[in-house]
Amino acid sequence: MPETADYLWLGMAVTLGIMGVLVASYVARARGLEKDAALLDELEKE
Amino acid sequence: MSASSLSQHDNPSAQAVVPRAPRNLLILTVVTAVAVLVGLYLGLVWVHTDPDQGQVQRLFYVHMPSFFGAFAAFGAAVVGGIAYLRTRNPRWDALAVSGVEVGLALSLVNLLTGSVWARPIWNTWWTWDPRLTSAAIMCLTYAAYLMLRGAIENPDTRRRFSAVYAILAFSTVILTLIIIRIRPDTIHPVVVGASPQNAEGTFEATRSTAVALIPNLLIWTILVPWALMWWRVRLQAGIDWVAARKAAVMEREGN
Repeated sequence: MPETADYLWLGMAVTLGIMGVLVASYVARARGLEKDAALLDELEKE
Repeated sequence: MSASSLSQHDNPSAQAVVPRAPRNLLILTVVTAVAVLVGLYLGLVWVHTDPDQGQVQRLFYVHMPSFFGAFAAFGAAVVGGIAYLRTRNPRWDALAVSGVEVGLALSLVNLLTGSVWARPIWNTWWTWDPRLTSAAIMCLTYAAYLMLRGAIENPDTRRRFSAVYAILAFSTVILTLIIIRIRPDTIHPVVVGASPQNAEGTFEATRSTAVALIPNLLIWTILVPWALMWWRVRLQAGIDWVAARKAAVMEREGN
C-alpha cells in the first residue's frame, strides 16, 4: 500500500482552511458593520 | 434601498446590525457541526483504506460531496436570481449572493482536494483535463460574480445585473457536472457508472464506501450550504441596511 497519508492531511488542512476563512469573513464583516453603524449613529447625532 | 430590506431593523439604533440568531439557526448550526464531524469520522477513520491509493483516497469523502454542496448553493443563487428579477425584493438578492459565496468556497474545496489527491495518484498537481478545466472555469466565473457586485455602486442595478449573471453562470456548473460523461478523453474517474477508458485513479466502490459516502453527500449537499447561507443572508441584511444609512447620511451632508 502506498504511503500517501501526508497528502490526505494536506487536503484536510486545505478544506478546513477554506471553510475557516469563509466563517471568519462572516465574523469580521459583522464586526465591521457594527463599527460602521456606531459611526453613523454619531454622525446622525451631530 | 426598499423598505422590505429594512424591515428587520425597525428601530436601527436600538439593536445590533446583525440581530441575534434565531433558535432554529443555532440548532441547525450545531447539528451541522456535529454531522460534519461524524462524516469526517466515517471517511477518515471508519471506512477501509484503499489498497491501491492508500490514505489519500479518503479525500474522496470530502472532494465529491463538496462539489454537490457547491451545486446546491449555486442552484440557490439561480433561485434567488430568478425570484429577484420577478419580485425586486432584496431578500432574494441576499439569497443569491449567499449561494455564490458558499458555492465558491465549496467548489474551491472540491478543486483543491482534487489537486492534492492528483499529486500522488496522477503524479501531478494539475493537468488541463476537461473536468479540471471546466471546474476551474466554474470557480473563476463565480469569482467574477463577486467582482461584478463590487464594481456596481447603484444597489438596484447591482442586484439586477447580479441576478442575470447568477442565472447564466449556472451553465458552468452543469458543464462541470456532465463533462466526464461527454468527453471520453478525460482521465477523471467516474464513481457512478463506468469510468472513461482513459480514467486514472479509479477505486473499487464497496458497501463500506457507500456507507461512508452517502452521509457525507447529505451533510455537504444539504446541511453545510443551508447553515452557511442562512448566516450569510442575515449578514447581507445588515450590509444593505448600513449601506442605506450611509447613503442617507451622505445625501444629508451633501445638502
